[in-house]
Amino acid sequence: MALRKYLPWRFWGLFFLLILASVLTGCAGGGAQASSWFGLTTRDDLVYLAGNEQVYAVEIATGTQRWAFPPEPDRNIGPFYTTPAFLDSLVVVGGFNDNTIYALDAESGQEQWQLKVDGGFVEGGVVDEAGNLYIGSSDGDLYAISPEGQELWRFSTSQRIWATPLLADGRVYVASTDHYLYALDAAQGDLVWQFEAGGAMAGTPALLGDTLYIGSFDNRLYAISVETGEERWSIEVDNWVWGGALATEEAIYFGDLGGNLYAVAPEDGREIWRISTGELGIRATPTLTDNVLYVGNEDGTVLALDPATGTEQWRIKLEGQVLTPILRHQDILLVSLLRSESKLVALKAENGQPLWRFPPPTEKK
Amino acid sequence: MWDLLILDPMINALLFLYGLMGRSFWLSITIFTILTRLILLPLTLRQQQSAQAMQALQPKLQELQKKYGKDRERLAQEQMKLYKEHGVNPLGGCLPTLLQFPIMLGLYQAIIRVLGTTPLQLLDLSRHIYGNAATLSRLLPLDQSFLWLDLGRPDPLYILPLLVVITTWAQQKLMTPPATDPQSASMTQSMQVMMPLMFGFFAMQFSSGLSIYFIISNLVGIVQYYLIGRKQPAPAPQPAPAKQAKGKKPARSSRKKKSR
Repeated sequence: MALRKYLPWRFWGLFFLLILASVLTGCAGGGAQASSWFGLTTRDDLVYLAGNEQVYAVEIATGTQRWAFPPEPDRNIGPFYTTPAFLDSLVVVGGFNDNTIYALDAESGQEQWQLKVDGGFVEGGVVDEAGNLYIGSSDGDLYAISPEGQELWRFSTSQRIWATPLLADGRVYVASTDHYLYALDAAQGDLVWQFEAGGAMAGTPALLGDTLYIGSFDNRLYAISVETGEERWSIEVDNWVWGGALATEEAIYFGDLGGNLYAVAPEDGREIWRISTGELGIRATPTLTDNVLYVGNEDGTVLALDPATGTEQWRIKLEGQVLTPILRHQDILLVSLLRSESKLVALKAENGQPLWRFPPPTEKK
Repeated sequence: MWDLLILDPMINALLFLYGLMGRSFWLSITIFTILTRLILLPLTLRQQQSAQAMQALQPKLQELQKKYGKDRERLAQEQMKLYKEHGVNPLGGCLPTLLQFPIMLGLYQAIIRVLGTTPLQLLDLSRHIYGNAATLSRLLPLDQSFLWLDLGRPDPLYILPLLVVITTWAQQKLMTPPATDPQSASMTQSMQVMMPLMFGFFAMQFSSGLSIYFIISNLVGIVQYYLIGRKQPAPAPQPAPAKQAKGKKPARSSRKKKSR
């Protein structure tokens, strides 16, 4: 009663308006640091990771930072989702909000050139033998770029390209969220064929023999003829297939956003095994080395599995989310983390025990 | 709980309407906003009735202001007495607004999420689609283009933010009841300036899909006012029914007197 006496209802209107303002601002991420997953690439003894507003080069043996670009986070740069690609001695990344490709010296992190386009970048590019870079953008275009940073050609699709292209036998295969997988002539960018799926595609197609394998947001995995672009078979799964598939002679391995990991037969999609890794999704493409299959999911669980049976060898729960493929370098697994104090963690490949974290966690008092 | 009751139904409804409207997201937002405003119509009507009743009490409130202006406690007591005598709840205009608050917030979040402008937003969206219905998933990503706009980004020409400011101001002007005292008048005046500017600022910062929601919502509010609000006879404040006067309210009133 006392409040109502001294504070008329208009006050409450203004009060809730201010709450609304703060909630809306918070919801839209206004004022917050840009967030993105971290793409990883290794070369020699360094791992390169690009995420949020910086690109880092880190020593694989120790987790020590070699350089960062820019040295301090800059809100006008990035955020970076892309997996770094190499153009000879340059490491190339694309920013999402600033629509810019940066070519950095791999040794020092110094910027060598940049190219601004009409849309942001989500996945990294691929480089051919001549050093040309092929990279898709949110403006719906696939760009072919020379080693010097000049645009050679571009191919337009009607929606965002959020997938790394596949380069094979003089062709570029790229998936677009416009529901099409495109096969292009790498030299000129001419369309060879296009395949329409039932939903958006954001993974890199996997090539095995004369078949491409790719998942879609319509809860399906497709097998497509590399020559004609015709569907060979498709299977339905429980949820969106965002990440790329891993294709081997024994099985096609892929995950869905329902947290399921599948192994299916390359010839007809018959299920060999499937396991549930948890309720949260698998976006990252699985990794297979030394007959061990590694996969991470959105709740931060990393699993090592027998590729023949799906039997678990070990698992570890990390703080944060694993959204990008796990890399193996000798006997070290490199796992990037989203929503975690550390952006990168190195694990022992044999048992998953952490070796180091980058940056190291702050000591709790 | 928020996701289950508010956000997920809104996201799926927006997607369903998007499919129904021939994959036009601005139409989907428009239809959804109109439907939401229709569902909220009873609340809006109560708000308008309360505002009109307050308006009708103005002369008497001003008299009280003149009479007890220097004694704030007495003034408040007399004002409350007047409200009770005429069966008017001074918070009657505020309550419906508060009830609209979660719906407005949910709509805002739903529009942002369903656009899936960034990869993380799209990843999050996959968890909100019912049963991960492949039918709705097939509609993604939404076609965000409309006229010169990318509905996932702010309007580069600032036309929508300007329309947001104008329509918010117009709706505020129509719906706000007159102030009862100088303090309230000053508050009302600052709200009528601040609110449109604040929403205009949102429109400049956030996706233009949200600006469409603001504009349509304001326009529907204005149309509702002209179609329904003005036709209703301003409820002349009536003395509260005898039963009510002898029942709860006098009892509360007497308790108040005792406590003082």
